[in-house]
Amino acid sequence: MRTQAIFVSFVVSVALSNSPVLAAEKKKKERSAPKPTTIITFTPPPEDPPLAVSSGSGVPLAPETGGGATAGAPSSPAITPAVLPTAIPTTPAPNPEPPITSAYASPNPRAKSFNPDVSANFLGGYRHSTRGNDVVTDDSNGFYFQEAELQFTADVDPYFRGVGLFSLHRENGAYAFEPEEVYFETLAVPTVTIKGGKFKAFIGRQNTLHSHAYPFVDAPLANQNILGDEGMNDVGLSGAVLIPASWFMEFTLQVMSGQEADLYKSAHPNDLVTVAHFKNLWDLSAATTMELGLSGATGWNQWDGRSNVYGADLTFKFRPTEGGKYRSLSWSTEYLAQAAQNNPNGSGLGGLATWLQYQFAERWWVQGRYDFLGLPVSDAFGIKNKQSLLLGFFPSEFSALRAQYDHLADDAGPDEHRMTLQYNISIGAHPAHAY
Amino acid sequence: MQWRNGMVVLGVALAMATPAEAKLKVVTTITDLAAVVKEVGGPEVEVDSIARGTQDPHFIEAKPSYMVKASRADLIVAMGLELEQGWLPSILRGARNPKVMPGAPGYVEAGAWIEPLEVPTGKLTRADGDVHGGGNPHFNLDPERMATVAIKLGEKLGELSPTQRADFKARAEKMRDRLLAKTKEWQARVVRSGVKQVVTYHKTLTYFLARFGIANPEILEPKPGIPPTSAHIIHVIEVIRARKVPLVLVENYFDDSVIKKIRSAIPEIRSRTVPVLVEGAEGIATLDDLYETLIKAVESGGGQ
Repeated sequence: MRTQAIFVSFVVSVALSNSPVLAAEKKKKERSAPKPTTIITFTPPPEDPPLAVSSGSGVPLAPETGGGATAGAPSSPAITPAVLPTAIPTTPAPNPEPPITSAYASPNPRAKSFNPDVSANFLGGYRHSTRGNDVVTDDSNGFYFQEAELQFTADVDPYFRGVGLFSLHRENGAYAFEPEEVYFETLAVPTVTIKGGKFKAFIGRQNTLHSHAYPFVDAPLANQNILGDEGMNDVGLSGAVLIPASWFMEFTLQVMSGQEADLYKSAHPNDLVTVAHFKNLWDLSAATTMELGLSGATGWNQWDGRSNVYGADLTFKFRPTEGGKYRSLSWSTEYLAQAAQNNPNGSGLGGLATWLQYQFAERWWVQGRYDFLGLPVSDAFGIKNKQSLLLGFFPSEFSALRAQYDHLADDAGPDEHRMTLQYNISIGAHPAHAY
Repeated sequence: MQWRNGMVVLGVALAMATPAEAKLKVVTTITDLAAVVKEVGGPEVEVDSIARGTQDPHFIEAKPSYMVKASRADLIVAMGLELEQGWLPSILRGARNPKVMPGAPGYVEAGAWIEPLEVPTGKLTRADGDVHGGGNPHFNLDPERMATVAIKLGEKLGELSPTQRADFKARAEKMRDRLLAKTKEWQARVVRSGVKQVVTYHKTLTYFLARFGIANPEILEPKPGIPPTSAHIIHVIEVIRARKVPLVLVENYFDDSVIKKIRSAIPEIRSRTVPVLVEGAEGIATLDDLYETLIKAVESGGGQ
């Protein structure tokens, strides 16, 4: 318990030692008193049909009726500078610039409201597995509804940001609506972000992701078997310090109740779980980054022993600075292991997953993953060996269609072959992407 | 006496360590804003841009190394108008630097200082593609709006470093006057070129074309952010033929293979792949270089 007391006092002292002064009104004042820009535009020659400068999806114009077929644009001779002053009328041409009053005074209708950013994400699809035919379960063959997630985010005031994510999904044959992450975090404390509420534990990169942001349609075997289907996600308090260094170095310490995680369901309500993550990210070049993370978690378990989780993650990402819209590559590896004292099913279990993601066109990705569970081997789970291949098409930032094939070899019977077609749809507020 | 000497030494040491000599650290989202800060701020200001000139500023990854830069910044200068909404919020939160959070004096959006174009009026829907509720965010290609941005940035820098206010103001006014004077010359050259319409890939050049009286009858993207489809390219080719559009400009972070398709249908069409940001190509170190390159590209469509 001592480490937790120290942590809390550290958090409180950091919070109290800073009284940020924010001038939130400043920008709004500047916005409300615009300085009109001088408008200098050219009146199009009279023989030209009106051209819509702002036309996006096309001027309705049949080729044979093209008003400009013989019209003057290219045929007019060069205008000498002497003529120029008369060619700059002060009245705006019909299209290029809208009147100043209309738009500038109220740039964005949504910007005026205090509503939080709201978005929803839908995940589902069709799957077929050589093992999914026996009984109807949440995982059986056919069309499936994986999850609908509702997200609300907003700055609470100059000091806090509030985030609420709620998930509707299938659980034990029925729909369940649950809070996934509901937390506040600090905006005005320098160097450290303090977060309180219910959130995902920072054990490796994968566990912090929501299911719609998973690199594959499913999580690696080690995450599923050690931290559970929904990952380790618990109520508590978190502090993440940005350590001054020439690269990105962050140390995160989290204390959690433990009651939400199977691994840490202690009989004593005062027993807390402590999670630590140490993240380093270097820019190897303008195009390449390397991230190395180390994670650990410790707390009492339901068998009156200690459970420890260890993790390490290593990610390389490459996106060229020229042509980066069309090509990129990333390679990630995560290791996760547990040691649970007094666990009747055996104490140790660990696994390693490594995957490559290659973007070969603006909207297309191909990915491969190798996944191994059995480092160390647990008698209850045996050795599992899995290979996955994924093809992803992303029509826009807000939609994705993915096809994934998995081959699984384990002790449970003949090898499993599984095909999943998944849609991933986001509506509402624009997401801010994590790196 | 020793005690007093000690105090003097300590005082001197403190004076040397105080930020009288410290440069203002400014981080901008795009290189064009960095170019303005560099000129207006002069030697007293250190400036760094998050995006490079060769990258599409809509889609920058929120790399943690940018968080490190922002954590040490005194001022963040963004374009605003939702250009950076996919990546800047993550960088600012990761930076953990309250001085530069939106709402604080160390955060400004240049979009608030200018009059935006193409502000959507009806209901916003993503069925229209990547539309920005605040209007088209690519005003960095309008020399006159950037002249306004220079003045405002000069005021902002003066607010953060009052002792240098006069220097910032003088440099900003010099920059504004130069850009406004050059704009007149550039306008004259565009008129002489005879080019009155161009086709572009994205609506990146909207402000530039509006400033120089050039119409933009068609965009190669069927909708903002959606890559060209075959059917849409055929439609664009029809428009180019019908309107006798002399020139296609493709912003250089987009795939310019689409030019080949247009040229196979209209062999006489002129085209240029153009940088649209400072440092977007070799030799483009300032806004003046950038606009000059674009004007030359427009001129290349003339004389037909």
